[in-house]
Amino acid sequence: MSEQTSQHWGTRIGVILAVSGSAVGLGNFLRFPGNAASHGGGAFMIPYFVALVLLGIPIGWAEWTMGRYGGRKGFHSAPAIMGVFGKGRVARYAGVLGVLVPLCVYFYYVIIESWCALYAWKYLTAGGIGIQSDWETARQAAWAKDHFNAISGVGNDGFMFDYGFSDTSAAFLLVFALNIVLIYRGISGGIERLCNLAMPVMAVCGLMVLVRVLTLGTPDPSLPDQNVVNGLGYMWNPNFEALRSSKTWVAAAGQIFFSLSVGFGVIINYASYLSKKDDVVLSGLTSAATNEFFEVALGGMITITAAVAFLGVAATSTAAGSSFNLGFNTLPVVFAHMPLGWLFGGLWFFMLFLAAITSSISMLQPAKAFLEEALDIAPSASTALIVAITASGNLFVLYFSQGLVALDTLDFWVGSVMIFLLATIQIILFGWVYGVDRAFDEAHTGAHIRIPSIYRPIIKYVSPAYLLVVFTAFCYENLPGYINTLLFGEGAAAGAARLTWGLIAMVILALTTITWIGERRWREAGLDLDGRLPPND
Amino acid sequence: MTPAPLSALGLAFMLVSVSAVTLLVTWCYAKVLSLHG
Repeated sequence: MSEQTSQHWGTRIGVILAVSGSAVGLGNFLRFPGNAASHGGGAFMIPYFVALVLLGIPIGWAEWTMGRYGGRKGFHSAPAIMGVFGKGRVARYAGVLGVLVPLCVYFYYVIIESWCALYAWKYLTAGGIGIQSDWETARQAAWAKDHFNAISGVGNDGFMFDYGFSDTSAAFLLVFALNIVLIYRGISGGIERLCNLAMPVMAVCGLMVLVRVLTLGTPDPSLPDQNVVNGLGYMWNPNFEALRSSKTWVAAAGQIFFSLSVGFGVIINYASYLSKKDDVVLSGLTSAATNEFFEVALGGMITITAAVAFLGVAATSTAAGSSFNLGFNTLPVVFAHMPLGWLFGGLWFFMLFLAAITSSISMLQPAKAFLEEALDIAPSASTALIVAITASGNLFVLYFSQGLVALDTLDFWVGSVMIFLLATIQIILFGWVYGVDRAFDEAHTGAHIRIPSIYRPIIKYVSPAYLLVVFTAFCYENLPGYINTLLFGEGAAAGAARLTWGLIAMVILALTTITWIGERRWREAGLDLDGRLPPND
Repeated sequence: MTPAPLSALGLAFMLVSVSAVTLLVTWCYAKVLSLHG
């Protein structure tokens, strides 16, 4: 067994906060409010909560249960755990997705995280990103856009290498190093310690910004329509017509799905460090509830409300469709108008940075556990490999920055399509291959609360069917455009998209080969890698 | 798009949604802390 087997969580709250930290990310504060405002406002919450109950919570329970079961048999990586739970090679190789997804998402996620850190640093030390409060709004918006383009390199490929060492590269290197140090310190000493600190700090920062936003009133009396009540109205007034559109239901399910980090390969790894007597049902529900609190109570009240109060409904509706636009182009203009904007801007971007780093370290741990388990290497060696792999991926995304094509291609194919695939495989393994009755018995071992019986048919029939319908609709809406670009696209953007697919293919090949090596090693060691025997703990 | 103030129905959706997630998270942590300190 690898050194992973000796790792464990220090406290129950620790694992809950770690899973919550993995789930709470930029999407809670930027994607959710834009999605809700664009898809029926308050009415969006109906399909949103339906998806939470029928998809998010049950798939989360399945992943927690599978992870702990694998851990009880001495495994901590998604391929090994899914091989045990799914009783064989097919499930084991499908489990490669549970390492691929977090690893490839990390390639771009840590870059966005470094932008948040850089913005927080600039607000708290230099008063902001250079926008003057007495400028006209159009000039402020243009400045914010130019600033974002300069740090993200959206205008041309290889920007970071052209400009030499800049504050953007310094922020990236520091954030990258911080992630590596935390992951090297292990489950309890690194991840748990960070999340125990970061989650309460995030909540405090969020509540401070929320109080500031809700007390803004009408910031500019000469523009009476731009006020907090209209901002809340834009976000929450229900438009029931939107419920008749399939796009609303797909957007709501997608929001729940991506926000909770189910099908991501993280929960299955984190839960594998629990023991037989540890609860997974209440823990799974608590981490989902924590994510929902950050998303609905903070994300749903702050971003759009502040944007409308300062910029009006028209400008906000334009920005709401894009998380980057809302977060890095629109909000800096809002903070320029806001009294003490440097402080609240700093708190806001620091909160986004904490949300991002508690997610990004969770993306490294599954790959670290996998490398140690499959190759029987020490933590120092697995960390060195992680540095080499992720640095290569990060440099690729940083280089192909024009139009953020590499980032977008990874986000669509890995961060969306493959997450759907992995979650579908997991819920089928749980409800059908392992069997829903046995799976419930396993989930209830050590549980502090029981899963309601209605969830047996939900997990067996409703969740997989719902998932397949949403996945099909998602593919119908998005796949043709991406496939066209890959197959027939011309120019630099299409070339970068193809190269990104080459990168994904290389990672798939490498992870599959390592799984094959691990499989041989586990078999030679006499481990029950096909899940034929019950755990002997 | 015409700006509109928060309606009674909008307020209801907002309060129910925010209260639901706040109550759920409070109940969950109260339960966890009562069991594990």
